[in-house]
Amino acid sequence: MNIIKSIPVLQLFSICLFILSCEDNLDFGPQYVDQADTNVFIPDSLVLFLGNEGNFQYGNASLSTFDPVSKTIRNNVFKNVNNQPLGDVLQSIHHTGDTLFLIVNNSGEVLLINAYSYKLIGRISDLTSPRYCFSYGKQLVVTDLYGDKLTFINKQTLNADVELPVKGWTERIAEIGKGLCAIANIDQRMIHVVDLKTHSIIQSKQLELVPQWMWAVGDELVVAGNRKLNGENAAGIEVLNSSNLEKIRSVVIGRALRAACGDEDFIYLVSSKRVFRYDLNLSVIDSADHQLQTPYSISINPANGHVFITDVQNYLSNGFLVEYDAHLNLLGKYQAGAIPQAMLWLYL
Amino acid sequence: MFCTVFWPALCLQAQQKDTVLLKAINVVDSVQATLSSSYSCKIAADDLPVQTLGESVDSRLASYVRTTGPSMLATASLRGGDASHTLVLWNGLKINSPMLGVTDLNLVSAPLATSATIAYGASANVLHAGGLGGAINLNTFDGKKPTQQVWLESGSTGSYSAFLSASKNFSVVKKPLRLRIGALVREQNNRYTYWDIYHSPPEKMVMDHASGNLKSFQVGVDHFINNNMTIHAEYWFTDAARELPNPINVRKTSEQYQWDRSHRAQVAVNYSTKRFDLAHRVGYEWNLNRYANKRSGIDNSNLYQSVQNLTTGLWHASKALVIKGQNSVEWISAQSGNYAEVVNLIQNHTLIMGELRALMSRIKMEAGIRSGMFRGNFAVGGFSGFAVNITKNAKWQFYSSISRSFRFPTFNELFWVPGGNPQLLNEGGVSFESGVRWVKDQNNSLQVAYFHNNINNRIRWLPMGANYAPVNIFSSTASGIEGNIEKSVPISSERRITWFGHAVYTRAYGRHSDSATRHELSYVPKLTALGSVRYQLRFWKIELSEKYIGKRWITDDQSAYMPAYWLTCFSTSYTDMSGKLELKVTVDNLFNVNYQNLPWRPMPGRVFHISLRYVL
Repeated sequence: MNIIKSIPVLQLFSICLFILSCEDNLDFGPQYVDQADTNVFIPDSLVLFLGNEGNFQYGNASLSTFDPVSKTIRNNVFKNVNNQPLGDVLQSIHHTGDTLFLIVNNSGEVLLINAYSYKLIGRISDLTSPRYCFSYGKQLVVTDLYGDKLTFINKQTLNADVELPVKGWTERIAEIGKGLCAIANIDQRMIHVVDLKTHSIIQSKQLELVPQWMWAVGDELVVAGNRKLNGENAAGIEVLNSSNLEKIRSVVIGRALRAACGDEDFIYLVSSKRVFRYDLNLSVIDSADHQLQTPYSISINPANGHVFITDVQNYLSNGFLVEYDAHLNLLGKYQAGAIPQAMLWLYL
Repeated sequence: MFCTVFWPALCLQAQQKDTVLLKAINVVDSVQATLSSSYSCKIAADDLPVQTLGESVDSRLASYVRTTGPSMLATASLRGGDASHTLVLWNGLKINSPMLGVTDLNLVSAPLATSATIAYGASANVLHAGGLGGAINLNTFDGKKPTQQVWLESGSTGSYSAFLSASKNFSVVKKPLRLRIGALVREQNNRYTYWDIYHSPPEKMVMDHASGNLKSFQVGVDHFINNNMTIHAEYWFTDAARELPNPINVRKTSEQYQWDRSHRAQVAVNYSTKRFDLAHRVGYEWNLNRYANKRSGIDNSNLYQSVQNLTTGLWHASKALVIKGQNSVEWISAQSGNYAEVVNLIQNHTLIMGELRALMSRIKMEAGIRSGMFRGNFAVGGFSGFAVNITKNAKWQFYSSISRSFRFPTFNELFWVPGGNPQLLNEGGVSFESGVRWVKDQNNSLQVAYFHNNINNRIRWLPMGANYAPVNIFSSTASGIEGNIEKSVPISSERRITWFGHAVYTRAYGRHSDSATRHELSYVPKLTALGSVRYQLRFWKIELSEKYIGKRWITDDQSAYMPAYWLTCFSTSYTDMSGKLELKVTVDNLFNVNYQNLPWRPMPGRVFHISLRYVL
């Protein structure tokens, strides 16, 4: 007792406890300094929806819209409308009717928003690592990076109805017939044909390249991706017959690709330095240097053929959407969010 | 478990009365010596053996230790370097993972630790290659007898720890031999409340799926053959199991687990004569890391083994000149589910340096050349510097040095499938330091230094198509001022007050190519500071410390940042009159500050710890 009286320790401690005030300051997470743009601009005609992945585990994925007529980009439209963050790594955007499906990879979610108002109307949660999705009837089929499966979601209940085991990283999806879709398998270097009615794989095709980009044109399936050639980085395009996956024609490209896309007439490829345009016979039509720091994805304006490439800079800064005309002349550069990647053109 | 680990130690202690008393032997350690011409500081706290190295650095220095949570991954980035630029050594032998390049400081728990030295620039270059930011050298056999103690601790987040260390002296062939043993067992449930500010509206939650347990055990033998020769041998076992929580912005339930186990052994033979010191060390490490994500079906194991042979020779050519040579040969074998095959490689490092004293030893000049060979890749570095005694009694010293070092790419950077890049170049760095120091004694010192570091060919993992691949893309500069002060003042025969302060001010910039715009480096706070005051009155001690971590950018275009935070820690302890029993109460984060060390990783608010220590 004498000891306690003789020293100020307990008194000091009591004072400390007394002055303790638990101030619940809630501004202690990541702070974003460039979110002054709170206007929500909703174009009434053709619009480009641009998905910004955001930095892995930062939770700063965002959605931008670009009006190709007024050349106006609006960032953070999802957050501005819904007053909540979008999630972690926005991988892809899919559209059906008046609904946009935003696949948020590292959040394990698919967010459903209204394509006109951007309002959140539904959320599919608890997916493993979703990448792309495709809507067929009442179901939504979702590919997965780690899940070793395809997940079939009931669009009415937003619950998983069926899971189809598929070994490896399943990626892009292309419709190749009524009730049939092609699924790219990155790990296996394969294309699977999935019957969406029976939820079964009815055919698989081994490729020489990694099927990173894939789309259907008429009765043909165009697949582009990187590969090794004599130990060196290279790439290629393979055009397959949609009905039997037989290779119709292919070309090997002596450099690695960063992005690819295509439409009814052309195939566009982006390497670290140049943009190439191929016709569907796989002949180079033209090419040009793009002068971008880190090209990441490419898309074509369906109205005028303008080429849009995203530049993610150093992956730790906000990126840019860069516009070229159909002859690959630079037209404009618009600041987007962090790691802009997914692009979807939509007539509203 | 407790009995298995602690029983041998208790048995040792029971025989303490029969011990052969050792005379104090000053172990001249030419392997771990740092330079006079560069900045270094030391942690020699009593609680070093019961904490992880990450906790010690975080609580005793101003350094910013990046962590995803208590008992989770913790790395230190020093002076604008990456975590892989922080060398971590055990008695001079490198223990950075050759696969990852970094060391998880929360897995470095050494029950026989006596001190940890933080070295920068030329001093880091003397210890080993690769410390482009700095080096942390953990010392467990410096000849000191470990404090023999039993220590029990419990914390309000559901943490429990037990620690025991003991030593016994023997006589073998009339030669003294000391056996040391230390063991630590920790269980951390990490259940604490936090604000989930990611989701709207913010909600108070309880941290879940964030538990971790750690067991570490060390046994050492010191054999003093004669006044010229000593042999040290140590075995060090660490085992950790952790459940890894998701950041709060990810809604998925975490089902991620990590297990780490390592066996390390080291044998050191020191032989010294009047003019020569020879030291040879052989180290062996077996290190297994397993990560499982049950949701994703990932279950990866990474295993490496290494054998290091380090030979150091010191020649006192004259009173004024000392020449040191060092050769290190390391064999590493690594295997992973993401390597195409088991990788076996040899690294070789050589150091030749000299130390010249002039003007009645008032000036000390130090210079050396370091070279390394890895996969046929030859790299050369070096350093030079001087220290001048400003006053005759050598209390004030001015020093300056410049150093050039290199880091070889890690195994993951070279061989990871997919993405590994065998064409990677070495990272290179140049660092300059200049400062003054005042050293009165062990408890009264001051040191301030200006530093400037350049690192080029920095390796970054960037997306290349569908996969990430490492590339040499980045260069950076960091400059600033670092200082520390310690002052201990006796107020009376029974009262003593001790101040300690450490602060680092850093301006760090990077660019991704020569033509790219320069930007501030992310995750480098401009200012970090730590101050503490300890008041001792007879058997009572109270200590109050304050740590400040400044704002740090988390994107390279300065569009997002983590806000600064202050943390206050209070502790009070009472030791009984015999000095053997100590009861201590500690309150971490006294003011219950909400903060995140890394984005969306909420840290605990106020946490109470109570510990009981009995010195045997």
